[in-house]
Amino acid sequence: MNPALVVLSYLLSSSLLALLGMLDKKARILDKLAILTSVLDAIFSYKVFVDAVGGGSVVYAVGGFSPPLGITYYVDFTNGLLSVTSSTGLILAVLLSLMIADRDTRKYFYVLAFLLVAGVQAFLYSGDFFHVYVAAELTAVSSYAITALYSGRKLAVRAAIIYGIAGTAVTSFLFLSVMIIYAAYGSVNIADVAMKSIDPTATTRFSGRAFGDILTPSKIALSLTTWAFLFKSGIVPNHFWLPRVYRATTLPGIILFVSSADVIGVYGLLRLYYVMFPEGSVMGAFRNFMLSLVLVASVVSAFYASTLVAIQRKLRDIVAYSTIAQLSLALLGFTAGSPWSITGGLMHLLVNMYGDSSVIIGYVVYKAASKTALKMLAGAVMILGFLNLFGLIPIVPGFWSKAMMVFGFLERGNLLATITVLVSTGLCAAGYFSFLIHTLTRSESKPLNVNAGITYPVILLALVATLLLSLGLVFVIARTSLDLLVQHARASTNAETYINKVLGFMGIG
Amino acid sequence: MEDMQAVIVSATTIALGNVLSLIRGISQVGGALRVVGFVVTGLLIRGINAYSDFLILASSIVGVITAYYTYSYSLLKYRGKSLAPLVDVFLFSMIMVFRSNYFFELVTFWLLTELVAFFLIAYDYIVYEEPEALSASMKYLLFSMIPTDLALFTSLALAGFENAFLVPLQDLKVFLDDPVVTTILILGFFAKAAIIPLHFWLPDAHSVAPSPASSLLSGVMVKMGTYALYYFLLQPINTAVATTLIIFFGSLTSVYGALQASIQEDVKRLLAYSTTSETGVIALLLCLYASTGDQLFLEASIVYTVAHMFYKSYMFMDAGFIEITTRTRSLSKLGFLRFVSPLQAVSAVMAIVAYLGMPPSTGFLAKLFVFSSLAKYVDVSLYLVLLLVVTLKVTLSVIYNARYVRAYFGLWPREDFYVGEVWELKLVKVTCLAGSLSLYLGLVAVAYPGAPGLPEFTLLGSLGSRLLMPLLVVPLVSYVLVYLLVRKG
Repeated sequence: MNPALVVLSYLLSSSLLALLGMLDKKARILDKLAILTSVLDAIFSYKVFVDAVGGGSVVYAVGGFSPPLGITYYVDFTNGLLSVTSSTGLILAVLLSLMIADRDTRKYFYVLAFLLVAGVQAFLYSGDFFHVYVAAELTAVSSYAITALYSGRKLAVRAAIIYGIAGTAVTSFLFLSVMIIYAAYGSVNIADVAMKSIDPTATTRFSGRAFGDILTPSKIALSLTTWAFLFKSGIVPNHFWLPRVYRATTLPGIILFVSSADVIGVYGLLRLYYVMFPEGSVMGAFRNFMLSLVLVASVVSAFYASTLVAIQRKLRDIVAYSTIAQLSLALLGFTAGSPWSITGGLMHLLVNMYGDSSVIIGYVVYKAASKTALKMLAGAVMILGFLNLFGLIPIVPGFWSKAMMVFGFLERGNLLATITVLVSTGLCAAGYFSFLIHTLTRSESKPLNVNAGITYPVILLALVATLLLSLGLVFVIARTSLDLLVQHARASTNAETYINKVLGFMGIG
Repeated sequence: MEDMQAVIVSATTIALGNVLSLIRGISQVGGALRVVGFVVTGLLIRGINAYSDFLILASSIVGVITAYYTYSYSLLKYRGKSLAPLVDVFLFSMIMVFRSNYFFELVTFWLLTELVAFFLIAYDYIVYEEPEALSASMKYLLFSMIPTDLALFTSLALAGFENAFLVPLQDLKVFLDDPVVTTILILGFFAKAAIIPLHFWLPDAHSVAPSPASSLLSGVMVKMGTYALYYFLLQPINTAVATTLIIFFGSLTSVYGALQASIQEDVKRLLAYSTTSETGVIALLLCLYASTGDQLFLEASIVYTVAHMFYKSYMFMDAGFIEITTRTRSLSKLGFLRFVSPLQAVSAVMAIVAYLGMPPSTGFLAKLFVFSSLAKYVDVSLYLVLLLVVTLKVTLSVIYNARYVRAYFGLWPREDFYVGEVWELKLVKVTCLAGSLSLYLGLVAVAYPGAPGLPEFTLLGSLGSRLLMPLLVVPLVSYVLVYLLVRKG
């Protein structure tokens, strides 16, 4: 399966939905098409993931232009998994918007959502730094638009402007670093840059040798890119936009952000520090220093966000700060360096996505349902979501991601990280459980706008609960899967493997 | 997993019992089923060592006694029936913790227990929106649950995931030499057992929770902490750090808790502080067992634990009775309770006297073992100091127990106390009587050799069967005598 096809299919779906949106007055066909395309495109991304895991990786040179001349798409376990998460998140978001959004909002939402996911998939797969920037911009612009969907509300417009301006400024840092890299290395291909950052005298076809002094430009590029990626995932101190955006956008929009847009920053940092500028790179000490700064940032962010989670009473606020906290923990796992903690961090991104989706979907159905059975089911799914985010019961995947992270930290003797994970879990738990008690015991409910009857809610609840529980149970039943995951993660963060796979792809390098 | 069937049978019976309790007309059958369920756990479920065996047995007895109590209390105080299922899940989960053969099992049930405990402590907030209940449950979450989870996760990670699933607990070796890791571990389990410096959540939590929940929280849950301490003290741990921490903080807590208990106005807070004091002593004994290897210390801690389990669960049941009948928990307003219920007064005074050490009760055995074991090494100055600490604690315990008993044998009667004779209240009194009796009869099984699967106690050794008669006759006679005295006075 060709990764470019995945990206292309999302782009095409978006255009198709835009066209149909203009023509279809009643939106019935539009809705069906949205579900259909989201599932179809998701199947493509699952296929790519399966191929990548089976064969070790999938490499595709766009247009047949061999790297570093052309853009390469590289899929391995890590980005394949995140790509799958992102596509699944889109399905959930589409179904949820069918349930609660009105026709006009849905029309715009579909177009933007597919564009956003196209951008995210391209970001995940991209082996070319400039393409990374382009994908990031596509994602960002779609996010700004999704934030402003309720354009009649002041809150939404303000949030979109803040996000938009700050985001553009920060993404331009990313652009700047792309330019600096190109100027110094003579190439924007990540594998090429990686190879040259380890060995500045290396040559590749088309791009030759690095142009000049690569030390200072690399340092600048690393710093700027780090800052940009920290912003994209909402890690303190670049988190200020996230709560505003989550308060302003549609609920399906939040699910989308949680599964795709906000994850790419953390993923980007993983590739940046382990592939593009790995351990043996020419700016070794500086890279290690930056990595430790990122570690400190994630610790501070985790504590800050979880303390705020403990006092939240509204759904959007709690999801927002919880996301910041969980993403910070995932980043902590990535920066600590042990393959176990990296795997744990990766799993944690999924855990956060499933947890937040369960909570949001459960909450919506709970508030809107009039039949007791449906209410109970929704409540159960919400509880399951929170238990997952809390993560200390072994049947939910949240336990496993945290356990793997702690295991990895202790392997390296990193007690600060262990304490951070567990204390922030506790603080978040305080918030989750008081929110649960508040929601489930206060019987006043202003019923939310629910379009569909009983089918969509049940499907959604069942889907999200199944996804959550099956992931958790896989870990319980097949414990060898843990070692398998760690092996894959180890391969993903090995610069050598990456370089060989990408540049060796067309017999060069 | 030979007793898997027993687990399934008891779980199903208890669940079924809870379901039936909700159906009007056959709710008593439901209660009976719940009792049967806990009888099954007591008879058929075994732990992995002597300590866990006794913990399971004692917890099951507590479960049997509190089954009807919880149901009646729930109806009397909350006019609802949701408390009993929650409490049953709580107790069953703790029994499963003690039964755990594998580390992974232990962690799962431990975490489940903690979660249920959170909701039990917050129960009054859920039902009545009592803000105190919410803040108590938050304190519990932050200062008990999190440190314990920190300790558990650290040890789980150090044990390895495969080992946690495959290697039985008795054979598992977790390397915890690092002083910082040891400190995290010990402090984590201190948080569970409510030993200084992580003790302050307990008085709030146990006084705010519904009384049956408090019985189990104080009676059984803190023992999870001591059980964990026992298990990890026998692992390759940094003994210097561990023993220093336990001896220092254990002694401090036992005296501090007793002092605090002596000045409390609220009966439940008094009992809660008393719990912290007792767990301090238990921790001390376990630490001494780990460092000397002398079986006597282990037996002392087992008997002391069991005695405290029966005592504290009874006392909280009694506090619940006080709550329901007089709507107050303040000692300065109480003193007339012997007129409200002479039977309850008898239960209370006999239980307290048993715990303070009247032979041939469990409390007597506990004190006998503790003092014998410490006195055995009294020529070593540390043990002399510990002996003095325990003596001080025991003396103070007389004070706070006497203060408690004043609720029954204090002032003249007030005009306006509630003397309703609804059947739920009768059930409460009967179960309290059973609870009080457990302090005498609870160790019959132990004292009588031939009890299946249970070890013999060194001190009791040959006395075994000769204790049976006194154990049965003396309490019964004393109860009748005291009851007659109270009725007359």
